[in-house]
Amino acid sequence: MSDGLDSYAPFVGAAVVDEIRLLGDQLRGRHVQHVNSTAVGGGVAEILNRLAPLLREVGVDTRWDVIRGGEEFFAVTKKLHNMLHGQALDLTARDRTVFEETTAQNLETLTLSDDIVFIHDPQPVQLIGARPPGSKWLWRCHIDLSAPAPAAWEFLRPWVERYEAAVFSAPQFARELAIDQSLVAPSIDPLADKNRDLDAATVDEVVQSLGIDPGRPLVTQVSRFDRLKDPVGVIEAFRLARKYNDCQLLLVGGSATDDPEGQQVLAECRDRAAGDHDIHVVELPPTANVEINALQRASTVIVQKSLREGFGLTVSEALWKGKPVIAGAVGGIPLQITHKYSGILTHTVEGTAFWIKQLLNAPDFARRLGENGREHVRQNFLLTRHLRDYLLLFLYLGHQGQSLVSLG
Amino acid sequence: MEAVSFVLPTGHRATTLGEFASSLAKVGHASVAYHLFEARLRAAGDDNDFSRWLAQELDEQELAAAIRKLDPYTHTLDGLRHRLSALVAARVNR
Repeated sequence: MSDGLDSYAPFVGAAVVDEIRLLGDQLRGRHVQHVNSTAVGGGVAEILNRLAPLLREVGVDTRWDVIRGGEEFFAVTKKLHNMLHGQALDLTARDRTVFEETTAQNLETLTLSDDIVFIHDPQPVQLIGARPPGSKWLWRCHIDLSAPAPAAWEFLRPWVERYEAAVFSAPQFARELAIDQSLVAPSIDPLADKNRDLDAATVDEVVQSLGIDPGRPLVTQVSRFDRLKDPVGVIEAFRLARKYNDCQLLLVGGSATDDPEGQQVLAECRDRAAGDHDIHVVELPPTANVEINALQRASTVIVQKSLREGFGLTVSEALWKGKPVIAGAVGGIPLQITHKYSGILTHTVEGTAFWIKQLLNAPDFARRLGENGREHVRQNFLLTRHLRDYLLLFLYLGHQGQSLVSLG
Repeated sequence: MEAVSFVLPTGHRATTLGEFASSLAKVGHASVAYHLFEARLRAAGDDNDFSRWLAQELDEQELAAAIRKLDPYTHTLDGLRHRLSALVAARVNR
């Protein structure tokens, strides 16, 4: 994608773009190096792919390196990831050795920046052991650290506390640390295929290709087939709501061929929906961004009935399309939805059913929720806000301990 | 929990009421927040930057008082900007 910063002005206003350029001017020529563990796939790579060129455009000399590791290393980091999410596993002496050896191997080939090094997630955390003198280091945590297995956190914490600051996505994901912490929420890109405007013909084509009736209300949940997204609960809620309203349900998610539990949940959903022509259970490839975008735009109500969630950016994606969203009040979702103002927060199947029914019967209220939700996303969860927060964070590194900094 | 404010020139300058109106339409939310909210915390007197400047530099006492009366906590920043612009436009057109 080659969209420059000015392409965002129609969404956020020229003043926001001007402010970003002003901040970039203050950092002109500074070297910032991002390091993570994957170049493609996953939210971190997706966001860096968009942010890195924009940072360069505003004057920050940005590079992005990816650490390498063998299967054994990534098995350890996967285990660490699961432990940080609370799974009671054990980090063995061998695991620690593999982690340290992989860090050492990467340090042989990586040239570390002398200005700012921005490390993403636990995998490259130990690189700080080779910090060049005078450089400033940030550790960006994209995961929920609210209840980690103690062994994982005790392994990670001493490394994290060597950084200048840690950056978390939401207050409830953070931990007490001896270093400064900053909150930077993730964002969606309004120009990405997943979010950009689509013409009516494209939307119709996708809807009809899946056998969905474009003339009847459509309730949709977009998510992986994962028990924590409660797709079966969505089917139950839909059936309760349908007693009083003519409507269809669409459960659509990315392909899960490498995830045995995902396949099981998908099969369970198909089983529950069997013989019911109003329920569509659709598995799409992970690249089907335009299709997902079209299906969200074709929906009357969008549901995200998660039982546990990270930040839950699919909610912002749905709100950005101006749709009324009913979502579980978990993880980062309450930061995106204010109940009965910019969407609906629910806790149960019955509550979800009640609100599906209400929104189908009160289209004006539903429309207002969608409008308020889109405005909330426009102000808080678009890529430009993310970019501005990172620029401010870089500036802050040169002024730690000050509350008012005059520049220019 | 603490906040760090970065203050830098936006390039928008006003020496007349007309220039002020034009700049108000162009600056971002952060500028409005800085001059209306933070000014009250920063300045010894409990006043905002716009009212002080209008009163002291342009002798616009009435407009300064009207802006001083705006409660920044009951508007969104967009709403505040619209109220400010409307007050200034009313004065310019009088």
